[in-house]
Amino acid sequence: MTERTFDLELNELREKVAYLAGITRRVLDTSSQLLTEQDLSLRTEIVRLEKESDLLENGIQDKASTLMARYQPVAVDLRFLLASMNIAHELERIPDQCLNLVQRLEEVRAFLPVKLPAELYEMISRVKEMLTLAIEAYLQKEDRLASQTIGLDVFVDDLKTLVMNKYLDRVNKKEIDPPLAVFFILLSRHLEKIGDLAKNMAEEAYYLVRGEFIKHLLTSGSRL
Amino acid sequence: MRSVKKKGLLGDLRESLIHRLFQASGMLAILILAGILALLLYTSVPAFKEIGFKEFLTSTHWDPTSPEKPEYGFLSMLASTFMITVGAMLIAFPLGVAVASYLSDVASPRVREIVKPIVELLAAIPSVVVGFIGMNLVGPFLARIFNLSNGLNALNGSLLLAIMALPTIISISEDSLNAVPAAYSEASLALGANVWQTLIKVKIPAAASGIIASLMLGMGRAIGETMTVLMATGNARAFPHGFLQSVRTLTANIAIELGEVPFFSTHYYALFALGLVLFLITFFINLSADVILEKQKKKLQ
Amino acid sequence: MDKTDINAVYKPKILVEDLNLYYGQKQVLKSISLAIPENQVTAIIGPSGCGKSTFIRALNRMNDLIPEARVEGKILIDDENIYDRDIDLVALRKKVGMVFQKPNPFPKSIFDNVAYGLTIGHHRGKASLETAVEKSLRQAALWEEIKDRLEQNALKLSGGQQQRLCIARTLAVEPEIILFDEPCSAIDPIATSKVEELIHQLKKNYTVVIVTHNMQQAARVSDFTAFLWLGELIEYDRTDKIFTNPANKLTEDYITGRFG
Repeated sequence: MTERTFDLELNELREKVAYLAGITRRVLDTSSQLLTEQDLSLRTEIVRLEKESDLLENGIQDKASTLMARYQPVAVDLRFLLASMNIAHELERIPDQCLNLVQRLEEVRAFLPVKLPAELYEMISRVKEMLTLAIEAYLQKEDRLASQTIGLDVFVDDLKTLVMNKYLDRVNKKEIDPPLAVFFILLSRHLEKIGDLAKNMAEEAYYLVRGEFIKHLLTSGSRL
Repeated sequence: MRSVKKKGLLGDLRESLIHRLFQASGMLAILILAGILALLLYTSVPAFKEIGFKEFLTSTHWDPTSPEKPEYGFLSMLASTFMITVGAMLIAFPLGVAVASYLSDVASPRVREIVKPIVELLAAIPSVVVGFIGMNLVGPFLARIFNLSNGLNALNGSLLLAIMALPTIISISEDSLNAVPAAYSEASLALGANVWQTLIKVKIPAAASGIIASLMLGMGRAIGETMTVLMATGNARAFPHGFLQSVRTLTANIAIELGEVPFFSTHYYALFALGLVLFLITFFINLSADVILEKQKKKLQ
Repeated sequence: MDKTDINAVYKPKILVEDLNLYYGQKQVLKSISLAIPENQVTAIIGPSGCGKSTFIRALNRMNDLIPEARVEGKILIDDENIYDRDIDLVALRKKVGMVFQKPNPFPKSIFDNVAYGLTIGHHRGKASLETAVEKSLRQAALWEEIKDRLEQNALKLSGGQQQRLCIARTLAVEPEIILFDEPCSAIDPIATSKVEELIHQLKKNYTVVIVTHNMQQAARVSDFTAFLWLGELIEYDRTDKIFTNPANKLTEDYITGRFG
């Protein structure tokens, strides 16, 4: 049988999600560059990409709901549409978090340049890795990659707790300017949030492949 | 891109020629029928003029060759015809419907394959052969049972006509039973009815008009039948008073007398008047059978 | 989900054990075993010629009408094997009613159609017949539409009404199980949704088995779905499971329209 029209449509949707993921990835990369180089001029680029990602997400939701109405998909097709919609939603929220990162940097403009703690660099590279894995899990329908992503989230969470404890401690000991400590803690929170979004995406990819919801099972840490 | 416009006139011409040819053959059948009717009317008008409607329609005596006073009443022959026909139908209809039901619903395909051609073969027996059987087999048999001098009477004619009408009744009844959608039987069986109940309560009512049409066509055949009744019924001219009496039907009378009658005499015309009566009876019976069958077809679609 | 799982939660009404069915030399159903739960709707799906109609017709022995059909194995309904010698076919078919693909009311009045099953075999008083007819027509959600013209010929009704009349006719004999053999394949979408709504209502009091080639319909009306393919039972599970995450690749390919 030659390829069905519906398969072609699904593939188009997949391409759209992949493209949105690319944009998101660029926002994340630019944001990390902005943080390391503390170059606020990169802000315009991030804002532009964030707007683009909004439009892309709308396009994806629109396409997916149209396909649902027209083809009334079931089984793997249904799961693919649901996963695509949810992943697009999560993807679109990552640039929002990146804008928050930019915002935080602007708030400490007076202290620039500052040296970022190693934990934050670690977090940045971890969430980048998670994003890549989650997207690949979805694109290649690989539940193994999804599990890996979810596993990484534990590290990111731990790093956030670490940053928070460390800098609260330092503020108490008056070793650091409170605004800077708040800056680091907030950065860690935004990064942790990005990690969560990537984890959510991985859970969607897992559902796509295996047909099982694992969202709330994993918080107990008993599975996987 | 292909044009769908007509190319040339030749195609049109051929179409219309073929159309006309078929139309003409259809018209021919109607013309022949109309011709027969016209001939019958034309030749019977003098009879009515000379005898008068009153005598023809009300007298029970038919004695055209009487030297004193020829009489031309057709009532006794009409009564004989109806008696024999009704008798034949009383025998053939229940039997025919029973056989049709058996063939359509009960018999195994093998039995059906054997019985159906045999039933149809029955229709192919020449009427003179049936008449012969009536004279030599049924007649003596009836004579013995009822203690008569001979068995050439109305009952004999009815029995023979019943046999002759059976194939018509069976095959048309069976056709209409088979035309009842299988869905009806399935529904009935699925509701817990057995084959017998399904037949009586669903199939026969659904096929009723076809079955009635088969009766009428069988009747048409019986009324028009000549040779058999001529041979088997004794042909007495008297008004019939029972099935064990000898009777003379319209057809038999025409057959007996037409060979002897002088052309263009009152008697000659009177025989054509009998023919006209016969024609009208069979025409209306067949027509109503057709109408009923057509109705059934529509109902079951 | 295997048989034991379903049995643990639902009481099986029909238990099919190793059912093989042949038309002459051709095997149409191959070693089918499944438990059909009581007061649930079970859908049988599969491509044309997979044996789904044959299967449902095995449940009230309508296949007996086909001379060359031969059955092996057991079908237990309330623990009685309906292929045993001492089974009364009439009683079986009253217990296991059937609604067919094309609406097939008899060419009789609406009233006589519904009363048909009650009048064969034994006679009932007119009053009790009338009560039963009204009750069945109400159950089939048809009463309000036709209560003023019960003497009208049933063939004058619309296709959808005819099908609901056929359902009423089946309900009148008070079955415990109702088999639907592609009940909506000959009626329009609005009528279809009425029949589907009716099936939802019916499962309170009856065990329903429905054959359908419309997968969306199976998804809408059924609690359990069995997928038949070339006479074999490929997958049998809860409908929500089958339509979101079937275990078998063949099932998935079929319901997503990749073959069949």
